[in-house]
Amino acid sequence: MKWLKEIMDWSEVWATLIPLTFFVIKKPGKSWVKPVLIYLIISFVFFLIVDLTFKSKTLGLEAWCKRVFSWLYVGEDEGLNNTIFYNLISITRLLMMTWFFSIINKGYHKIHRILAILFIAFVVINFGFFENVLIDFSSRTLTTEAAILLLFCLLFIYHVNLDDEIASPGALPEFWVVTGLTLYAAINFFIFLFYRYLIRTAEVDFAKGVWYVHNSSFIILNLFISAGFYRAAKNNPDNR
Amino acid sequence: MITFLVDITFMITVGIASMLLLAAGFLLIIVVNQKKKWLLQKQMSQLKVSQQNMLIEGAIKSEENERHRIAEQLHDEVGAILSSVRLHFSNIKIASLDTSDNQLYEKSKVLLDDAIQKVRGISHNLHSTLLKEFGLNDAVSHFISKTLQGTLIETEVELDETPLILNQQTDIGVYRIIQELLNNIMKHAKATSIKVSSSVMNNILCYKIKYNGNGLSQEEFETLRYKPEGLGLKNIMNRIIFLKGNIHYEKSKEENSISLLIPISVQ
Repeated sequence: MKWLKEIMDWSEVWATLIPLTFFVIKKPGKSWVKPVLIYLIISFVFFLIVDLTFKSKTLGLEAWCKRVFSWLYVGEDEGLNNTIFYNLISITRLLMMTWFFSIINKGYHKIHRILAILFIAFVVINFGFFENVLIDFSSRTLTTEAAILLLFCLLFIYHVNLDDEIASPGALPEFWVVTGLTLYAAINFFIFLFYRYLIRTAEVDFAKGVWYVHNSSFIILNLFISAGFYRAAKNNPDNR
Repeated sequence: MITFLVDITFMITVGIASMLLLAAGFLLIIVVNQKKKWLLQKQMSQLKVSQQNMLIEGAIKSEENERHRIAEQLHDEVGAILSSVRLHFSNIKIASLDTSDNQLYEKSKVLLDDAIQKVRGISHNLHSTLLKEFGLNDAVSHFISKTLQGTLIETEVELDETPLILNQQTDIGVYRIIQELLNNIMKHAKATSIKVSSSVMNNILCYKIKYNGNGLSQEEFETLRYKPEGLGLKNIMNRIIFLKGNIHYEKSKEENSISLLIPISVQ
């Protein structure tokens, strides 16, 4: 079971490589691919740093990590605190997905823009006055992001439902990405909401277990993004 | 504290499961609903097409009946009267007429013969007797030779000799389309050469009409057939829709062409 644990621990890194590989091989020529691709690249880099710092002892990279990521060092007990990357990934995800939804669901672009601006304002106020972006796992930011993402997804699905021209939503490449995002945001809403509480006050083992649920949903998200890329490439006349 | 921990872990688990079920259920409902909606729309559009076809069929049938009625009345009534006039006319004693009256008599006789021929011609064109008795090829050839007779238009006809037994609707439909197309060419193209050919391949009857002069492109045809003055083109298209066929217009400086493709069942 140790190997399964290792695979799951590194899932945030390798899972992003699945859609990235699909992108390189299939070359989906759609405008909405760009924001998703940027999100995937940033996620890959940040999650790689997260897992490298988290596994630095086992990998024998502790000294190197402490030197390179000295600004993450919070003390002898906790060592390197990588939660800033989760906060940054959350902000990146919301911004990139706002861009993504503005492309695929043009009818609601005002709502997307307003909510993205409100989110940025919320993040600035939260990290400016209430939480430390460097050391606090911001349940508030991640939960708000999940809620906004869910709303964007529901708006898109509503738009698809209204469109009589769409015979099968599965034929739309972007619908696959949105399905992945819907499941990811729905599953993680409660995880993000209580995670800070769990790691601070409650049983840490349960928090670790719950984070594997997050990782599993992240794998599902990446698989759905890959399916979206595959579909988009299939619909691309240049690839025929 | 332990009780609270159990509660929070239970709450989170239930929360995650509920959210997952809600999201998955919602997505499933949307996909199924969209599929149902699309199927319903497809059925509606099929119904619309079949209704349209029924209307076209009704219009074509009533037009054909009307043509028959007019043809029969022309032949049986006007034709009979004219023949009777011709008979009476021939009984006039021309020996008692002077030269000027004799000339008038001869001129009137020629005109009367011409009128009888014209009435017969119109009657035959309107009636599809020739088509019923001799088949499509003979009817088309006869129509071309009769219509273009006495004009300066150079004509060439090459029709596929494959023995075809088409149903009456297809026969009449193709015949009327060819009639209308040739009438249009004569009226508008100022052509000096017309070549009509036909072939049968893969259960498709293909008529090709090549002509010079002012041609019509597919785009022009599509535009004209929706205009109120384009009644002939509308009729052509209605008959093509009814026969589930296709027509394609090509326009060029050297030679214009019209391809008519009609699916048939060869017997």
